Amino acid sequence: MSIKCAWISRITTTINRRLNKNGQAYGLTVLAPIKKGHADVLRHTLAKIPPVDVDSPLANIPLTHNARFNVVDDLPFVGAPALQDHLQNQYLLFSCAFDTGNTNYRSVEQDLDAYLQQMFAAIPIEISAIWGHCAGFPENPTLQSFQDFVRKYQISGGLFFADYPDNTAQEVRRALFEQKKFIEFAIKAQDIPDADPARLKAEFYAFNKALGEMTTPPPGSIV
Amino acid sequence: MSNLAGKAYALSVLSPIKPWTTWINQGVLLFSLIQGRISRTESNLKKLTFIHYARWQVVYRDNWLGEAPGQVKYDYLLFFSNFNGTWDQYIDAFSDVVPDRLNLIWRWSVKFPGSVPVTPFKNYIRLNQYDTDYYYNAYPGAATTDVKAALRLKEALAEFAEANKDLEPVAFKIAYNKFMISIQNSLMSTGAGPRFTERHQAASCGLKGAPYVN
Repeated sequence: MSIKCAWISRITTTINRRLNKNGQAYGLTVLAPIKKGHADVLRHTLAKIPPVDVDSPLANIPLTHNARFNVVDDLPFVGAPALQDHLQNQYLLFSCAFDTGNTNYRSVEQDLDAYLQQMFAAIPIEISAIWGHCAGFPENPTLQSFQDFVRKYQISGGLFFADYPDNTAQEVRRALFEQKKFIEFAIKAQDIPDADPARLKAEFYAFNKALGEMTTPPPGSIV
Repeated sequence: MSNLAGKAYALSVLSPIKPWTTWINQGVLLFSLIQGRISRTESNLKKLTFIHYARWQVVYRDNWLGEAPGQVKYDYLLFFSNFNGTWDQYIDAFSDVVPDRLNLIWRWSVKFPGSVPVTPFKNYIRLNQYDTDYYYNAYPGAATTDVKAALRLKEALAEFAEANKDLEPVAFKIAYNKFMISIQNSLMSTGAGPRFTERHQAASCGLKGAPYVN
């Protein structure tokens, strides 16, 4: 049971919210009850999202590293003598890691607002199609009511691990793209006749200049 | 429904915690976090080098909004992971590399058998695992090692280009060869994995919106 004492609760809430961040990455977890009888339709809706990442609506939110939806039907039973928990509702569990672009732990609230704002602007129809099956989701959602909904069901705190917490998804995709292009260059450079140093240098800097002008592949694409 | 998005696997686990030990579990998570942040590069989890992002969180009984008071008797430890490779490889590596840390985090879960030996541990995770209904990955063609290598290479390439632009061609060639030796471990090839469909292959050529073929 979470803490009932008001001032302790305020402190733990503040700490827990800050623990949502690791480096510049933010981990968002939302656990919302599904309206009675809506779980199957919701599952069907989730199943219809294009499975290839570049086609996903979530690819329209460039700050996102990864995201998942789980429909939780009931709680696990680990066997006697443990007690058996049963839920009266089914739940939609959403989890994602996204970029904030800063490492300031005091700005967690603004970071979440900025992400939800980008999400709401990019995929308003999909937001309603998915979370519209959850209890408490507004009929005609506005940015403010969507942010309030997410905050109401957000679970904060815990241990958030990121292997490259300081790099944004855009930086990762750019680095992967440059790696791929450099490998192509390095292979071609082996065919320079007589390993001519002047030509190697000229071709390297021509490649480097061209690389700087190339566009980074879109989110969800296979680099 | 798929736990896979490109080369990443989404693992989601909910295990019951004895409520009177939840505060210890929270303390352990906080201790692990502080320890990991102080010696970030030496963090035990980084030894595994195939986890993009992972998270342990406590779901309290009153976090299940919509349930009647007393309906849920346990608090729950929620574990998310985004990793590369197969489920078996992942749990094996977890059990081999960080058994003590896993035991410290999960020992407060009801009937947790310990992370060694691995078979009961796998059974416990499988019993408490929830399959993913939808999973998205922003860079599906890359494993964690690929990402870290690409980030290293990008930085090294920019430094090399800047530092050697005024060299004579012969000296440049020597510097280039030294550079290639120094970054050879960062030249792995990424791209579509064995489980990718034709649509993934089309996507890998940048054909956004091409017809889906499964």
